[in-house]
Amino acid sequence: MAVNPADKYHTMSFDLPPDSDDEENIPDWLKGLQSEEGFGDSGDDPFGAEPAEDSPDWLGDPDDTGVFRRPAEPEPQDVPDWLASIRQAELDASASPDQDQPDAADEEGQDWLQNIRDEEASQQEAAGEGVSSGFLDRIQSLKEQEDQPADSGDQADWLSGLDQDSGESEMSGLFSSEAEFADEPAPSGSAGFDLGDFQLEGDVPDFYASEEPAPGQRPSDPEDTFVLDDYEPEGEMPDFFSDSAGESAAAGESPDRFDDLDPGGGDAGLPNFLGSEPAEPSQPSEGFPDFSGAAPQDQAAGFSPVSEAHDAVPEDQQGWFDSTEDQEPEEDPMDWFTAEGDGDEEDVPEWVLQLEAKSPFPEVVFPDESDLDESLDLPQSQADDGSLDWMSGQAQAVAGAGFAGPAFSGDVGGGVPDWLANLQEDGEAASGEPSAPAFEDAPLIDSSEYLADAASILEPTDLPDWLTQSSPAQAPAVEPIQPVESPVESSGDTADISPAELPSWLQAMRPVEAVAPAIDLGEEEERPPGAPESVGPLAGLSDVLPAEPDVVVFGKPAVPATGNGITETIQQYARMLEAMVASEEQAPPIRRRLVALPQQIMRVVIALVLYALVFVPVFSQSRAVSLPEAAAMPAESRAVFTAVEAVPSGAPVLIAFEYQPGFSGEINAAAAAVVDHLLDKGALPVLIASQPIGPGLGDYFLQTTQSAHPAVADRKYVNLGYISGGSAALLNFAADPRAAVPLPQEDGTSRWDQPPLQSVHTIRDFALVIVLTEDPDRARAWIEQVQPYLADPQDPAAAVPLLMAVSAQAEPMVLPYYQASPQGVNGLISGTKGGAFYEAQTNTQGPAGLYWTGYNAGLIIAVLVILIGGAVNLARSVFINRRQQGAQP
Amino acid sequence: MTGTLDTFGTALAAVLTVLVLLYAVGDNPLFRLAIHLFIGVAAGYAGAVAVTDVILPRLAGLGGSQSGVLVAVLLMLMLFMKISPRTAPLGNPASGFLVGVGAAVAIGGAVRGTILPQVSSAGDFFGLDFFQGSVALIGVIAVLVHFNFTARRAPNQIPERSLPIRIVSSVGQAFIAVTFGVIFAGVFSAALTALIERFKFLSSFISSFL
Repeated sequence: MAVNPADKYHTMSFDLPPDSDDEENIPDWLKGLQSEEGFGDSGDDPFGAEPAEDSPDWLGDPDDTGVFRRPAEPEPQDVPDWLASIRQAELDASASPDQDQPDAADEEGQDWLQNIRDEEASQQEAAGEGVSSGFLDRIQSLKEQEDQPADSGDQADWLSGLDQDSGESEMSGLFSSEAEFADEPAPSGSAGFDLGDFQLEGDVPDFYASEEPAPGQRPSDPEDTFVLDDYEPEGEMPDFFSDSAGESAAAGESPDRFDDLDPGGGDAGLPNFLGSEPAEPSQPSEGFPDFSGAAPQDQAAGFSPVSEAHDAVPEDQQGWFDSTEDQEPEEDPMDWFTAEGDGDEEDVPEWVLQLEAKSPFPEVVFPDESDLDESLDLPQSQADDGSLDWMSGQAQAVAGAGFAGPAFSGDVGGGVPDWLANLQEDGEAASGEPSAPAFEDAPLIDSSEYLADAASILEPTDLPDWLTQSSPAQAPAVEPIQPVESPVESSGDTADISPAELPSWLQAMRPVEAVAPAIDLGEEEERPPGAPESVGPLAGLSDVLPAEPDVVVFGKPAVPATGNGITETIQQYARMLEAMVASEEQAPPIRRRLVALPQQIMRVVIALVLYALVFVPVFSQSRAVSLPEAAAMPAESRAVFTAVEAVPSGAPVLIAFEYQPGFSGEINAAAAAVVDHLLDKGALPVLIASQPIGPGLGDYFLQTTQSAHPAVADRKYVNLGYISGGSAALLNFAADPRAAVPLPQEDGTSRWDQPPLQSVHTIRDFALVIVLTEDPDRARAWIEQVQPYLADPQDPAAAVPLLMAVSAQAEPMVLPYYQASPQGVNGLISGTKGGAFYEAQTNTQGPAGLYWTGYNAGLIIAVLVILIGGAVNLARSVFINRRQQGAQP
Repeated sequence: MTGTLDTFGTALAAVLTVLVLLYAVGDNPLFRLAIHLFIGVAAGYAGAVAVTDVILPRLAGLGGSQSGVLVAVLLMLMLFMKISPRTAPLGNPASGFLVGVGAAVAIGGAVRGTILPQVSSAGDFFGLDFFQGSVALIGVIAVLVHFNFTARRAPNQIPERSLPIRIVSSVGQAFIAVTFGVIFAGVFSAALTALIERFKFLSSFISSFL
């Protein structure tokens, strides 16, 4: 349903006093507005005055329901001067007999309205829900009724619906426009209604004083006039109220019912429709005021304001309503209206002509009927029945009166302020439907200046509660209005601001009392008035005004314990511990050792040179380097030769193989000549080892180096095998060889009972003990554990000699035992050199002689590499030192 | 058959020898392969030798003494309990017995076979040769002084050894350096001999195909 706000303006703005040209009678606020040139066209803000200051008292005192009410007992003397002057001007202008009736109805008109208001107020108080919820319910019901198909051909749906509701005495029933708004989608429609409502309420003086219809713009909807009329301000009653009555009185066309109703003539208390003279029936519109149906014949619901007023007024004043309803019109009920508002200048009151002649505003250029039809978008049924024709006539009458309306435009698109656009968007978002056509097509509030000023007037704090609060009945309709609470904030992109989230700095500034629980002051609150104070500096004094419980707190407020005692430091330590444990579980990446490229190249070059110089003599079996001289044989080696020479033929000789396979080449070169010498002497070798590899190495040694001897070839040697236990096993073997190494055989006999072991009962029964090892520790173990058992306690000189053939790397640790006294080792052969000496001494060709050339070549290369490397490093260090010295100043 | 196995064994030994010699160019997978094979073969051979040369002969040789068998079996079972952490405490007595006996044997042998003879021999150097004895005496004293870590505390100063002690310690440090040099020379000599022996083996292997 399209609501034409231009009609509102039309009914509200043509009520200028007939003698508006009288500068003295025009109120100050009107003077200021008139002094502005062309404000209707230029679009300048016609509301120049501070809205807050101009807001009437009744606007700032809403009741519980949020409705701004007029004071219960209006004082007659509260009429402002300007209103009084207007009344006086009206009296002057209505000197003719036609205007006596409106003048006479001045005070009584207020009385009946006052009665209506009083009764409405009482009904609203009794309603509980308040007016806001009541009239919205009413709107809903009207909407539902209008949605139903028409049951009468003569009566429009909306009229019939309103007719059914005409008997209701609710406050909302007066507002037929509310029903029309209710036809719109709930959010938009309700928003639009409320908006228009509070705008009218809050901006009545300024609006009606300043708004003038702009040329080519339609007047506003008269429905808001009722709102204005309902919330009639006492101190700032717009003059058009009184003027309307005066005009009606001047025109002499006031119907009888008005005479009955307001015998005193039109005054400020009269509704404006009393003064509005319909020119001729125009195109009906849903947005047109309902009181258009006030024609007695139609009993139109559009005249519901009057019907509502009929129910609202006291019974003693309802007579005129009843009489009016009973009257059958002799002619078309709108004839009088159309005749009055035909737009002929002859019918125009004189003061209107004067005003038109002197009006500084441009003339109103109203659209023709076709434009109205298109803009109003009325149902065809309503358009045909002609029930609203009087509205067009009224508009033409106004046009003929020369009143310029505000800059209302049919298109609200560009004139809608941001906050209203947001409000509409919110309404759409809440309802899921587009905005109501009433807001989009019919510019209920199509003046941006007006709305902007209304928004500025209605500060967030000035909004009435009924606008911000929504009762359960009207919750879905009022919810979209919430952004209106702060038009400034909702105008931008802050429509989705999360509520009540204090910043940290502000939280830190909160008083402790705001965080800590307040002390229970129930006892203080329950204390009867007049009782003396019990605590604080005012203790003992009575009749002390109670302080705010949360502000005056004696004692330290209790601080609630938070957490379970785990401080931030403890938590930090816990996190560190977790990180450490997690890092332990992660295997660090293997860092590859980086070797410089020159160093790698040098290593490969040295290896290749060494390999070549060693391999060539060995491969060629060269004996370029002769064996050492036997005369130069070391004493320890010579002692070995001497000891072997003393071994009797066929005597068992204990040979211990205590070296690792990697040193077999060196040990073979060192001991081959010695074992060969023993075998030449006819000794019987007995092999033993304290390591698992020893027995195998013993067999390999004899088979590879002494295979030419018959004792080895015939397997006449005995391999005792491996004795486990390390030093303890050696000690055990030295103490009791037969117990340490049992040699059971399958036939139940022992190997110890067979030759050559049958003569061996102790360690001293061996003619010689030779230990082949590369490990100094094993050599020391034999020296420490076995050597003492080789000596004869009775004759130390008759001890069994202990000889050793060791690797060159063990010589420095074993030689001291040879040089010690008493000797731990009676003879020592070390490495290839010792074997070469022994071969030279025995004049045999063993492995030492084969390795001797390559051995010497390798030693020479090693010496050269060491010397060259040392020289290079020395030169490099010297060069670096000199460069550093040169760099220093 | 035996000749084929010997030939295969010799060829395998030659290949493994070459793989080990490749360490001259740095650590490489081939060298690691040869080392792992050597360690595995040596461990397996050691286990087999322990069973055939120790366990079986011992069990067979203790047949005549029941008490000895019971003690040996009891200690063996207790030591076998070390296989599991739950039963490991049951093997502690056997382990303690072994450690105690080993420590006693080592300490007794060291005192009797190393310390006393070396101390006795240190004072007899002059009987052998004056120069050699003098060097030996100076070297022993200097090295012992070098390993003396006691110093006199001075007020408000860091404890520091006296100047004569520091001089003698330096002499002992020189003797230690020479000793390490000799040991390194012996290690190099042993390694060189092992290299020559391997080259001899490779030469023989190559010569067998020529």
